[in-house]
Amino acid sequence: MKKKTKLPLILALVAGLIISGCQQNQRQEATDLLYDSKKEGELHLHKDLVKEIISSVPNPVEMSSLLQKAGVVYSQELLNPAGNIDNYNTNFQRALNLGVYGTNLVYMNIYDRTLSTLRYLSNVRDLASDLRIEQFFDYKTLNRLSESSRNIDSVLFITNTGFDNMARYLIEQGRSNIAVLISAGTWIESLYTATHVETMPGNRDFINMRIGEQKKVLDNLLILLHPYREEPGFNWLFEDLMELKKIFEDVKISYVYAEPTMQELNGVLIVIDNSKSEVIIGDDTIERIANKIAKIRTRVIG
Amino acid sequence: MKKHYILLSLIFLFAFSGKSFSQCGEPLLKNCHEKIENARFLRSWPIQLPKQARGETLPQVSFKMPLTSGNTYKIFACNDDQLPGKVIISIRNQNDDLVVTSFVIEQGRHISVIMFPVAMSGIYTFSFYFENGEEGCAVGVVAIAE
Repeated sequence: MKKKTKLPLILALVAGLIISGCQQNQRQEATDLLYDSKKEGELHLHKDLVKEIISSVPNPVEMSSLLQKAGVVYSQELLNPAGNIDNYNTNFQRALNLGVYGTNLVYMNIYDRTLSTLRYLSNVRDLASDLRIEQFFDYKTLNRLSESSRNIDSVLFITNTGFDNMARYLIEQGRSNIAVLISAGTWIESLYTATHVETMPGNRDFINMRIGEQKKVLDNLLILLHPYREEPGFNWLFEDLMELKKIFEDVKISYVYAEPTMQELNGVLIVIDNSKSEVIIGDDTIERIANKIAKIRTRVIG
Repeated sequence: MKKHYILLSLIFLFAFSGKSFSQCGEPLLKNCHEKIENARFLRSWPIQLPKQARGETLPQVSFKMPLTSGNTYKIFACNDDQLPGKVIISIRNQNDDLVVTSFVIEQGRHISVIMFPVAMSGIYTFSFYFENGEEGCAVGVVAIAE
C-alpha cells in the first residue's frame, strides 16, 4: 500500500527533473530591444537612408578575400570562441555577436575550413532565433553544403543573401537598432581580424592601407549609432567607437581620379581603373587602432 | 465541349501571357547565381521597372555599395527574357564620375559581365534601367573574382 502512495511522488520528481533539464538546455529569453526605442522621426534618419548606410558597411567577404590575397595564414585563435554564446543573455549582446559569428563564418569559409563551421553556423542560427529573425537562413541546406569545400560559393550566397534580407526586414519592422548592432559587430570583427593577422612584412602595407580606408566606414557607423548613444549598452559602444574615430583622424586619404579604359575579352568587359587612392597611415596609428579595436571587441564578445 | 473551351482558354492564356513564364524574382536570381562560377557572391539586386510613360523620366533604381581597392569585382546582368526590357548597369564612383556602363553605345550592344579591378576604395553607385525605357525584370549580381 505504501509503495502505491509513493509512486505518484516518484513520477512527479522524475518529471520535474526532466522538465528542469529541458529548461536548462533552452536559451534564455531576453526582453531588451524587442522594438526600436526610436520612432522613425526621432531617428532623424529615413529608413531608406539607414538601409543605404548599412549597405555601405563592407561585407566580411571583402576583408577575408583581401587577407587571403595578401598571403595571411588562417588563425583559429582570432575567432570568437563558439562556447561564448552561452554568455549572451541580452538582445544587445546577441545582435552584436550575430555580426561577429557571421564574420567568423565567412572567414572560415574563405579559408576552406568548412568542417569547422558547423558550430558557428549553429551559433548564428541560435542568435538569429533569439532575435526572432531565423527565417532568413536555410540552415538545413547550409549544414549540408558545409560538408564540402566545393560548396563555398553557395554557402556565401545563402549567408550573404540571408544577412541582407535580414537587415532590410529589421529596418522595415522598426527594429533598426538590431540591424545597426549586427552591422557594428560585423565591422568590429573584420577590423579586429585585419589588425591582428600575421603576414609577410611585404604585404603589411597593403593590409594597413585597407585598415586606413575603414575611416569612412566608421564615420557611417557612428551616424547609425548616434540616435541610440544614450541608451544602455549603446552608450559605451558609441563612446568607444568615438575614441577610435579620434585615432583614425591621423589617417590621410587622397583620391586622384583618372578616366578608366575598357577592354573586351570573351564577352567580358574589363575595366582598367586608372584612378588611384593614397592612404597615409603610420605604424604608430596602426598599433593604436589595433589596441583600441581589441579592447572594444573584448567588451563585445564578453 | 465545355472542356474544350477551358482547354483552349488555358492554351491561349499561356501562349500570350509572357508573365506566366516569367522568371522574375527568385528563379532569375538562382539562374544568375549559377553564372558567377568561381567568384565569391557578395550582393544581388532584383530589378523590376515599368515601361517609361510618355513625358516621364526614365524609370531607374540605384544602390550603393563599398568596393575595396585590391579586389577584382565581377558584375553580372541577367534579364528575364519574357519581358522586352534589356537591363543596362552603370557604375559611378563616390565623386559621381562614370566608371563603366554595360551598354556599348557605338555598337548598340549589351555586355552581361563586367570585370572591375578596383584601384580606388569607396562607395560606388550601381544604377539600373532598361534600354529605351521598356518594361523589364532583371537581376544584378556583384561577386569577388578569386
